[in-house]
Amino acid sequence: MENIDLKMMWHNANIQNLEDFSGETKIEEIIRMNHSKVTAKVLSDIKLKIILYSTISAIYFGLMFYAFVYLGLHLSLVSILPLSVVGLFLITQTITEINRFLVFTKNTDNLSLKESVICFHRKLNRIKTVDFLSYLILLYLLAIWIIRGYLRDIGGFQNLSGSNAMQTFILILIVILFLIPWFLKYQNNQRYRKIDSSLIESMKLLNDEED
Amino acid sequence: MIKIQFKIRFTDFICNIRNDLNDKLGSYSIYLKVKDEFIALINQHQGILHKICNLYFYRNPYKEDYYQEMLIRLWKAYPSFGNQSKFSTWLYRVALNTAIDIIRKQSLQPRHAELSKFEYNIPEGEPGIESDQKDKLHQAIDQLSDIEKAIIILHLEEHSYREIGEIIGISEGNAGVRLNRIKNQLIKILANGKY
Repeated sequence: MENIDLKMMWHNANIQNLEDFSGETKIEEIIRMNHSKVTAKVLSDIKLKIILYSTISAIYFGLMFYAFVYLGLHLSLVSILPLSVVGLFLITQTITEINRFLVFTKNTDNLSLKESVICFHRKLNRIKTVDFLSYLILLYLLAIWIIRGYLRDIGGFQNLSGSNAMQTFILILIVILFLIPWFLKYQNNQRYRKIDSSLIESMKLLNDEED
Repeated sequence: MIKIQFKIRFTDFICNIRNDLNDKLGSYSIYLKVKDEFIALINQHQGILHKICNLYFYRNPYKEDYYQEMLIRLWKAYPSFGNQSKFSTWLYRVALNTAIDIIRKQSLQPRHAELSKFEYNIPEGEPGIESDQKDKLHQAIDQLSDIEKAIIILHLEEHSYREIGEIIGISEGNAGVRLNRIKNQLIKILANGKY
C-alpha cells in the first residue's frame, strides 16, 4: 500500500514537472556544444588561471635563470627569500589548477554508479596526495635552500651562535616551512571532509553484502 | 619519360584526394545517421532526463543548464552504447552518473561559478504552480543520498531488481535489500518530516 502511494505521488509530481519543462528542446543545437554554459564557464575560468599562472611562472623562472645562472648574480638570503616565496606560490597555484582541470574534464559516465563512486574517490585521494606532495617537496626544498644560503652567508656551521636574532628568525621560518605541508594536508581534509564522507558512505552502502 | 612519370604521379595524387574525400563523405554520412538516430532516441526518452533533472536539481536555477550538460554527455558517450542493454537502461546509467558527477564537482569548487540572472536569463519564480504534495515528495527525496536517490527513481520508474542492480553495479539481491531500506526511510520522512 505504502509502495503504491510512493509511486502514485511520484507519478503525480512528474506530470506537473514535465509541464514545467514546457519549452521545446533543441537537441541538435545542444549536442553541437562541448559543454553547457555553467560547466563551460567553470572550465574556462580554470583554463584562464592555468594559462595565467604558467605564463607568469615561465617568465619568472626565465628571469631567475638569466639572473642567477647566466649573469651569475649572488644575492643575500634576505633578498632571495621573497623571490622564492613568489616562485613557490606560482608553482603551487599552477599545480592546483592543472589538477582541478583534470578532475573536471575526466568523466566516468559509462561505468556503473558503484564503479564511478570508486573512481571519483580515487580521484579525490589523488588530488589530496598531489597537493600534499607538491607542497611538501617545494616547501622542504625551500627550507633546505634557506639553510644552505644562510650557512653560506655566515661562513659555515662554526659561526652559528644561539644568541643571534637573525638565527632565531631563520629557525622559526624553517620550522614553519616544515609544518605548512602538514597544516595544508589537515586543511585539505577539512575542505573535502563532506564529499569524502559522502563518498565513503555511498561505497559502504553499495559494498554491503545482503544483510 | 618525365612527362609520363609526372602524369602517373598526378593521377595517383588525384586518386588519393578522391579516396580521402569518399572516406570523409562516408564517415560524415555515418555521423549524420548516428546523430539522427540519437536525436530520435532522446526525443522518445526525454521524460527520463527531465525526471532525473528534477530528482537532483529540483528548484535549482541551473536546472535547464544541467539538463543540457546531461544531453551533451549522453551524446559524447553514445558511441559506447553497444546495444548490449536496452537504450533506456544505458540512458539511466549515463544520466544518473552525470547528475551525480555535477553535484560532486560543484562541491570541489572553491565557490560556485555563477552567471548573473541577466547573463543566464533565469525566469522569476512562479508561486502557486507547485503543489504541496510535489514539494513534500521532493523535500523527502532531497534527504536521501545521491545513490539512494538513484535507486529509488529506478524503482519508481518500474525497473526490475536486475536492471537496478545492472545500473547501480550491485547484485540483484543486494538491490532488493537496499531498495526496501530506502523505501522505508522515504516513507518515514514523508510521515514525520525527517528520518
